Amino acid sequence: MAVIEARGLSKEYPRVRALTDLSVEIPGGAVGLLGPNGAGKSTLIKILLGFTGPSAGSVRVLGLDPAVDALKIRQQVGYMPEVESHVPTLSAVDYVYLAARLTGLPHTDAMQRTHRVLNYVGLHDERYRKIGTYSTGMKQKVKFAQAIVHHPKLLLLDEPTTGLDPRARDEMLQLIRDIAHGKGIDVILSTHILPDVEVVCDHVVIMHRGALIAQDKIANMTASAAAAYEVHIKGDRDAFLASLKGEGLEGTAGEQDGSLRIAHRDGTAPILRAAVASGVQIRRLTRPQTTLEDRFSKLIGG
Amino acid sequence: MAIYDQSYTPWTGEYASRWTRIRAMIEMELLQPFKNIWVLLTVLVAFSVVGSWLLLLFFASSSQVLPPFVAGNRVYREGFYNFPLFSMILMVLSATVGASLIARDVRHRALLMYFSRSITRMDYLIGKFLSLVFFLLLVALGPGILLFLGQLGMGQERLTFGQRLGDLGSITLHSLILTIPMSAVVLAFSSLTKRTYLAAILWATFYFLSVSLSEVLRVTLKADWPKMLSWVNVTAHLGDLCYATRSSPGLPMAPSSAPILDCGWGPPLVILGSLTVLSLLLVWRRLRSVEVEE
Repeated sequence: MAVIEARGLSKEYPRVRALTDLSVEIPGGAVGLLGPNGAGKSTLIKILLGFTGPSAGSVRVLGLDPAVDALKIRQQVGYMPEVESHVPTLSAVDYVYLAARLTGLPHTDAMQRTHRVLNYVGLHDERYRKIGTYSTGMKQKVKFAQAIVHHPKLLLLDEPTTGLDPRARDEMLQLIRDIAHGKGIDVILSTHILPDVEVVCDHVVIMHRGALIAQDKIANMTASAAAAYEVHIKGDRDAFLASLKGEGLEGTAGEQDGSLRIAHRDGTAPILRAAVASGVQIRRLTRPQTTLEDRFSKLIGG
Repeated sequence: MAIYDQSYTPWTGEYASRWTRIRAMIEMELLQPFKNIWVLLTVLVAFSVVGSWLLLLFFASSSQVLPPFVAGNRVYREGFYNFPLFSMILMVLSATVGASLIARDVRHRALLMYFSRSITRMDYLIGKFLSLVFFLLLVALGPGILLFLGQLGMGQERLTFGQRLGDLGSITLHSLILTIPMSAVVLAFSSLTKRTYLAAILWATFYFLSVSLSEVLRVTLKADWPKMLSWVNVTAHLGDLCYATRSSPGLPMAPSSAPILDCGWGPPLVILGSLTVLSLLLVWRRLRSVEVEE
């Protein structure tokens, strides 16, 4: 079931068009919302939370319309903004507790949940210190804790690993993975850091200049390119191509200079037979490893 | 890494009402000022003003000659609420506590957290406004009630239950007149800037400018109407009108003090009411634009 359904969504600001006729269905699970800066990811999140309305089109979050049921949506959605958004004079306990109370949790539940989620993210005695004294990694954990304190159905994470050192980044990604795959909370991870998405998400939605340009499972995105071989030969290239045709295969120019790309999924035997038949030497035969980054670069023309 | 898997459990309770959510904000904001030692000391000074009167009242209760301040309700009006030191304390506290309420949230982008929760902009405004009103009421009404209890126990006036209740109502009303418009105006200044100190300076400037401009114009123009430009005069005049004029049998009539303004309750009420409404509208407008920017 789709957690978010957008139909013809557009958003225009006085000097910029942030979203252009965006139609997308984002499924449950862990989904990466990818796009370069200015792709419209943050604007989409603002519309989903009811911070701002669309100029045209409609959107539903967990089956609810943000224009009508913004408060209900916010009770079921957790949001971790990209920027720092805490009051430095409050302790982590006070801040997360306030977030819980503002969502509507009663006092006792809010206090219990506050301590549980702070344990969960790994903030212990330091939770009683003022947030203003925290490191970037600790501040990110507090933001994450406030986003999950009310046990949302859907978690919107906006660049959660920005500014983190490698260790803190790994910790944050493990937390997100655990929440998405172990706690039954659907996660939308908005980022431009593609390796983060590969670590956490199963599905990816790619936006560019306010529009949807691709949406699929990550496995499918990387598999389509992997169903081919890249081969370097020494010898008569034309003869080799003719032999390949005899085997029912076709060779095209590969990614690297002088290489050939042969679309073929099952085994190397016909390629080797074609090489023997045409009398060429195979110097290298590989299955190209396409990463999400490769696909992303191609899609946005980078 | 530190994932304490067992610590996370789903929450399946019921959401509290909208008012409970606003109350949570008020509670949090009310606690904050008391973590500041200077605010605490200033609050103590306010209470010590009343403490001094209670001490005098105690000595007066055993005296044969009744001092004038004991009679009537002058002790509330002139002894406390319109006492210049208390006016100054209230102004300083509102600047210290109120100026940061919205400016701080805007500066640290805390509005993103607030508005991603189940509260509206109106809830936020109500929460911030009431938290400042309640804090200032604590400083105004708290000592006022102490003074009332002192009068009840040690005063020599023989008052009926209705008169006592009337005094209590007057004290409450006077406190509200002092705190509600002040909270609205301070909140408006707080919403105008991201810098807390600037909001405090703006409010203090407004306060002192209104007082000094009123006095300068009064002297220059040799007219009484400029008195109405002074924040202190307007609030003190309206406050004075809350109290009943009475004489108690067996006790000397309390010397009546001259009215602060030569008008009834209408013009000052319109001035304070308009300022309050305009200030809250300004805050509302600012909140709308800030949310979109964020």
